[in-house]
Amino acid sequence: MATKKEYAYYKQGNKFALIQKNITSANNAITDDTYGRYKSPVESVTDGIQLDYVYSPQYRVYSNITTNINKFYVLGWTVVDGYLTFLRMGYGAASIFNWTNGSEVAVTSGSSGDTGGQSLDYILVRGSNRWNGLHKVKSAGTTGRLQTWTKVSSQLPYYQDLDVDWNDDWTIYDGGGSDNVYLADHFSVGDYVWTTGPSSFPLWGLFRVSSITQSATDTSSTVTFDERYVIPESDNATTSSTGLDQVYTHTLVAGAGSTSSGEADFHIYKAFYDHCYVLTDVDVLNDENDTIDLSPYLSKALVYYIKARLMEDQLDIKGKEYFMREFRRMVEKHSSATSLTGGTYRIQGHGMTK
Amino acid sequence: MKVQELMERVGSQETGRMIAYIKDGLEEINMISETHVDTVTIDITEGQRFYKFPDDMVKILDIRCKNHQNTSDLYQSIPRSIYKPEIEDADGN
Repeated sequence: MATKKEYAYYKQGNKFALIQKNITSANNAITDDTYGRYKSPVESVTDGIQLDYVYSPQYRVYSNITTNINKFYVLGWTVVDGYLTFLRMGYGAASIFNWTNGSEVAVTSGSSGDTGGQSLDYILVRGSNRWNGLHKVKSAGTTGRLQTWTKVSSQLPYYQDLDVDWNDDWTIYDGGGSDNVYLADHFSVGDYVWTTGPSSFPLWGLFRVSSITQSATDTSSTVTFDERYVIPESDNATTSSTGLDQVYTHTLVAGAGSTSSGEADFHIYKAFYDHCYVLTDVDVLNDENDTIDLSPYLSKALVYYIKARLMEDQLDIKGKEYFMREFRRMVEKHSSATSLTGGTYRIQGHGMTK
Repeated sequence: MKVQELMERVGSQETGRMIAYIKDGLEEINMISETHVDTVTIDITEGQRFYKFPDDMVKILDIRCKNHQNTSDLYQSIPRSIYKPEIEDADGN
């Protein structure tokens, strides 16, 4: 049976802080100074928070959402050249998800955003711990990377065309020392690393760092992985029973890994594990032919709002105030008309006096 | 209603300006009336205090947490704390 918990939140800028009362059974007031007090969450919970929010309907999503048709799960994200990049990789050698081919091409072939002579490819991210919302596609990669135009302020270490050697215990290091990269200095235990490039496919994907060994010699500065994460596929014998909406975790056994040496085309990125999905073919409001996602009545209210703004531009303040009043009146009328407490569906409660 | 029809009603031929005002109007409508509501789920990570609001959020309605004041895996609304806790987060906030 689950344990009862006590949470609270407070707002801080564009984030909210989640705090939890430290009352877990493993702790007590004698051994833990923070027992009974609020602090940062004391344990991880998958899908632990549900957030209800109001959004502005500046886009429309294709209504029949189907996994691997217009909905694609990704493993996480990294930052490439300052831009947010989502990562998607399968289990087998035939599972390098190519965002320019197969069903994944929908991220750029969706026609909904390409209106008015513009080529605009948008995706909508859902289920993410950080990036829920609309993003514009910058480039669809052939090796599982989907880069967006979303700028990210944080910098993550990454190396391209690096000569990296792999041992069969899933340890990597600067191969031959030709690049003078001390990998252990740039990653920590628990970090996630995205790799592509080597000829042996199991060395591609998102890995978790289990240990590092720092050294003054670059070829001895090593990073070791213990888990590899992949997106399940219906036609893959290993991952097919996982469920398309889950992540398949490949536990890496020391001595059973693939090896690689002498290849100088490794790409290594520090990444964040964040299993979420992207919706494709998003129609963003950008053209005269686009339909505004409002009821007919609220569309008329919107007309009043636009007229008010035009009046304001002409410095006709009386006109602006008139149209804004009409706008607010219509929106509030619509709100009360659709509210169950507005009188439409009022019923008498049990036991009340008639 | 299409953007074109709305432009005819207000007597404008400036598409870019109209779309900008329409987007402002859609935000204003949702600030007043909450016509478009969505729910997202976010993982709780041990030791991580701060979580980002969705990029397209106009207004927050409710935050619920799993097993808050229950043992049945139910999501219940959590209260807003007026004060920050005395115990700081690892990043000093």
